[in-house]
Amino acid sequence: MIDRATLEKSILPLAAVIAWELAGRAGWLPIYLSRPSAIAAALVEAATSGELLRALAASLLRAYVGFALGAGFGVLAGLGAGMTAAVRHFFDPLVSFLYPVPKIAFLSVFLLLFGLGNGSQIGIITVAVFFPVYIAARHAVLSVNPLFVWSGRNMGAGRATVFRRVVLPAAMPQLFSGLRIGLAHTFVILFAAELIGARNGLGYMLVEGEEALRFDIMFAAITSFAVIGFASDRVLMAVRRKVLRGQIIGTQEEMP
Amino acid sequence: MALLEVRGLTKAFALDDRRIVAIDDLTLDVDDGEFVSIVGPSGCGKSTFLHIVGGFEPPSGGSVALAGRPIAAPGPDRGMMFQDLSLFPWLTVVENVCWPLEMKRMPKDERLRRAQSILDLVGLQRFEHAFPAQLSGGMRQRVALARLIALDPQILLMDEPFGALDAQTRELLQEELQSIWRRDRKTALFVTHDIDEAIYLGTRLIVFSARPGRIKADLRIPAGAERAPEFRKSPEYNQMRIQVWDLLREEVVKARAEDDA
Repeated sequence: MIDRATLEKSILPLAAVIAWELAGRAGWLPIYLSRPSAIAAALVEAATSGELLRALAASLLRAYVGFALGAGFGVLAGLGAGMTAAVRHFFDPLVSFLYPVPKIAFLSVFLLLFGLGNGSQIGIITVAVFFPVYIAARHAVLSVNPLFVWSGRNMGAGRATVFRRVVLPAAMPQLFSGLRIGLAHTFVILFAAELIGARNGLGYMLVEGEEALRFDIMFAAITSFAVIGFASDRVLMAVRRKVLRGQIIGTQEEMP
Repeated sequence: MALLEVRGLTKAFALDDRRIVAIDDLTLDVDDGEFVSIVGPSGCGKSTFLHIVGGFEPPSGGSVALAGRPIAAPGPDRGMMFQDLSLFPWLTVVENVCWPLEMKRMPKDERLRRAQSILDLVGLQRFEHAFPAQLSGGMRQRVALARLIALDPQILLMDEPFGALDAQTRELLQEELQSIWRRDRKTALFVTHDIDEAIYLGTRLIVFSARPGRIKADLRIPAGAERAPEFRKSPEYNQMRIQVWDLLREEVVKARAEDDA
């Protein structure tokens, strides 16, 4: 039995797909808006030829390696900045200056540095992910309830233990918010970077489809992007729910 | 020698270029086994005093020593209990109570047994696997009390631990604390704004003056250490209550005048 919330959530997407399909069949849509059924067929075609799998593998490798590097550096630098004023003073000016700049603007620099291929794509994702994760980790540490730290020290924990057993778990909720934003940036940047400077991957598949006037392939690539972005976010949220067991209970989030 | 020796303690802090003296030249001896209730108008520095004894805030002048050792930093010999929100929300009830035992490097099996027996004592054995967010305010404070018992410090520092609870829950917890305290007579400093609580729990009652905090009155509580819940209905109790309220009223009026100025 499907519950009410799932039903409510599926109304708009289903209606949009059905309306799109019907409008396409009635001939109301321009050629470049391929019907959902045509997109599905293109997906199946690309999947059976192996093209989709190769594109997916190329894109996912860049996305996840870039995300892991950016998140890793961001967490380390952000935690350091949260704990120590000197680290904060070191990173803060540069971060606040560059954060609003769209990171894709640096793509040409990375292309010149690493050439066409994984290096430049991963590099730019690393940079793009670093910023939101750094900012979240820094604020997470600074906003840890001081009573937790006091309680920890009161019970005989030294500074290192307080950091590992008190500050880190207390900072986790905000840290995950930063990781989630970083993950979204990952796919936004990956897409843009692959459109401009890649010879494989989903972004490249899109450009190929567009140039061959195969709009169904173009939409197949876009759909695949949406699916991996969505699935990655779900995985991250599942990990988060597991890590934050006690901290989520009783909040709005628990409600459907 | 007294267990806790406070000599000429002063605490001042800056607020918008003004120097606010929170505690001024406070001297106090607390003997082993005393339960000292501290009342005073809000802002009189009674919580600050507890924080200094806990080692969380440095004094501006004077000294505090526990069992002859000067206090410089927080430590497990002084167990602090706060009003609320000091339990670790990412740990279950039993994990929270195990925490101080783990810091003492007690083996895992042993600390689990110890934590469970303490939870039994505060009536929470059925909730050992719950998270703090799933408990009521009164239950959370019971867990905090259990954690304090597990820490087993030389002195208990309690900063309005029942202040956020409803009247009935508060009274029940006071009785529980009283019966637990009667078992091992641990020295305690108990800050509260509730006169009834101060008299019911304490063997000694200190009234702080309005800011800057000084000792206005230092009273023995007549009922002694052995007392039943009926103590609350006795004439001695009522007499004490009136006396303390009169002392406190003057200070509250003074504090109010100061705030308005």
